[in-house]
Parts: sequence; C-alpha cells; structure tokens
Amino acid sequence: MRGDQVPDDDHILRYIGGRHVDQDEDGEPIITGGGFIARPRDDNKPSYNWLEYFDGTLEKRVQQVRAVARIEYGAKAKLARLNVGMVRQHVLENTDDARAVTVIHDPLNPQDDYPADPSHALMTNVPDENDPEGERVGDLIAQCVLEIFLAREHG
Amino acid sequence: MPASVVDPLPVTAPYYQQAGINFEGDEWNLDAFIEQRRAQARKKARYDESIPKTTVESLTDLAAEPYVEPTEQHARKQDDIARKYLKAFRAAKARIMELKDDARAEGYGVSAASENDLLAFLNGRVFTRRPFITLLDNGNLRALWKNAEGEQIGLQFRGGKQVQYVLFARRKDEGFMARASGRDSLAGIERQIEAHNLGRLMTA
Repeated sequence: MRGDQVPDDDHILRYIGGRHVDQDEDGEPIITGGGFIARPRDDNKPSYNWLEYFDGTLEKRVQQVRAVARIEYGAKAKLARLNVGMVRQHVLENTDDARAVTVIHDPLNPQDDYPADPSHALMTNVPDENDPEGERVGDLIAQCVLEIFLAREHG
Repeated sequence: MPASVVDPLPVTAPYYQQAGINFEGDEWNLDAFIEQRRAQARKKARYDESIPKTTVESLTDLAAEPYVEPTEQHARKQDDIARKYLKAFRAAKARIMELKDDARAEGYGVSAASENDLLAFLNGRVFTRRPFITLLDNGNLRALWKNAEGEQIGLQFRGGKQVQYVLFARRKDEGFMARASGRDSLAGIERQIEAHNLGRLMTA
C-alpha cells in the first residue's frame, strides 16, 4: 500500500548513472555516494525499486525492474542492491544528527507510454549534493551496496 | 666507512613543479624529471644534517661542500615515487577527460571551475593512487580515495577554491571511525586531511 514502510529485511535497487561509476585497478565498478543522494527534482526522496515486491529469482526480479524503467538506462550505468535495514542503521549511527532515513512504497500508475511501476519506492530524508551532510549520507549508503548489476541487461 | 641512508627524504609536493614539468601538455620527459629529482635529493642530502653522509668528516670538508651522493636505495625510492605519481596523475587526467566526453555526449556539462580546482589540488599534492573521480548532477567533479577499512577522503570541488569534504578516519587506539563533513578552502582541506591522518590513503 502506498506510503507503507518497506521492511528492514527486504532489499531495494537503485539506478546509478554512469557518471557516478568509476573503476578500480581490476576493472571492478566503484559506485560513489553521489549516486545515492537526492537531486533537486527528488525533493529529498530519491527513487528506488522494492525487489521483494516481485516473485522469482533475484535475476528475474531485477529484470522486472528493468522492464518498467521510465528512463533510458545508460551504457555505463549500474543497478545497486541494498538491504533496507542495513542502510537505515548505518546512516542512523554515523550521522551527527542521527538521521533517520526510511524507505516507503510509492507505486507508480501507468503514465503516457510507460507501464505501471508497482515496485517503485522512495528513500526519505536524504539531503542533496550541495549539503555536506548529503554527501556524507550518500557515502554511507554506498558503503552498504551488496551487489551491482548492469543497468542494461546485455551491457 | 660510508654510512647508508635508511630513511627516505620527506616527500614534498609537488615534484613536477620543482622539476619544471608542465602537466598541461600531453608529453613530458620522464628521464629529465627523474634526473631533476636525483639532483634535488643530492642537494638536500648535502645540507640536511639528519641524513647520513658518505664523505663529510670535518668542518673543512663541510666548507668545501664535498660531493655527497644519496645511497642508491634512496635514489631508487625517489625514482619509484616519481614514476607512480606521474602514472597516477596521468590516469586522473584521463578519467576527467572521459567524464567530460561522456557529459558532452549526453548533453550536460562539467564545471570548468570545478575541474580547475581539482587539477590544482592534484598538482599540489603527491599521490600515487589516483582517486575515483565522478561527476555530480550539479556539474562538479568529486574525487574519492578510500580503503577496505571504510576510511575515505571525499572531495567535491565546488569552484572558487572551495571544497566540500567527507572524511572517514579510523582511530586505531579508540577503535571507532571518526567522520567529518563540511566545506573548506583548497589550502584548508590539506590541513583537514593531515589532521585526520588520511594522506596515506593517497599513497597506499
């Protein structure tokens, strides 16, 4: 139901544009905190997808997220998987204001040519990149990344 | 009996400026750069009393400014640092160019003021690991050095010689992670990094 909190045990997927992805010496992707903080149009609530909303294997769930995307995924972009409870606790424990971020369900109805996006979720209380605290929150979230997928299934 | 130099000379920034090398171009003469560093090391060893000498034995010798050669071990270490620094600097510049190309292709821009400040910071600092560099949605560049222990130096170059920083530093004695964020000047951020003992992330 819209506005419900996504359970701490569940997982979310965040689209990370290529500009926020670098590589280490071994060619492994490095996602930096800028990919997780709010942009001005986000109103301090950047978008995610709730993976457990869907059934099936993890790969099938990720594929369902790709299928309803409302932006064109970039060639260098990634999808980062996070655990909700881990993010909430890590941010809470490591910000000066004990910042409480939450993840709420925010399903999107069909719009224009886009199908419904029933797994859409928002992370609330996330500052933007012009706020030093925002970058700190972004870096803390980046430390919680469990897994990285190609945004485009076939690269 | 010749003494050997055990400790390296302090690493002072920036090598390239001391050596008169221009990083704005794509070419530089590495051999000349190395030779400059060797000459500097010789000169420093001559006057720095903390560095053991091979020949100085008396005031007479000192007055005559005898030729003093740092040990081969020391010279090799300096050469190695210089090569790694040049390699890391070149890689950082290539990464910035890549981001600019991608931004151009996708129709957005990179702040020239941010790029200038990032290059100024990299020019004034010895680093042998290139930072991860990303482009923020506001057009500013951000550099990040981090390690597996969760420590990091995160610097957003905002232009106008202003830096927004996020520093995570593990306090080994107390066993917790100190975290600091805020804004400072280009010069001030150097002090912040040293105060948190994080310069090692740039050279580890």
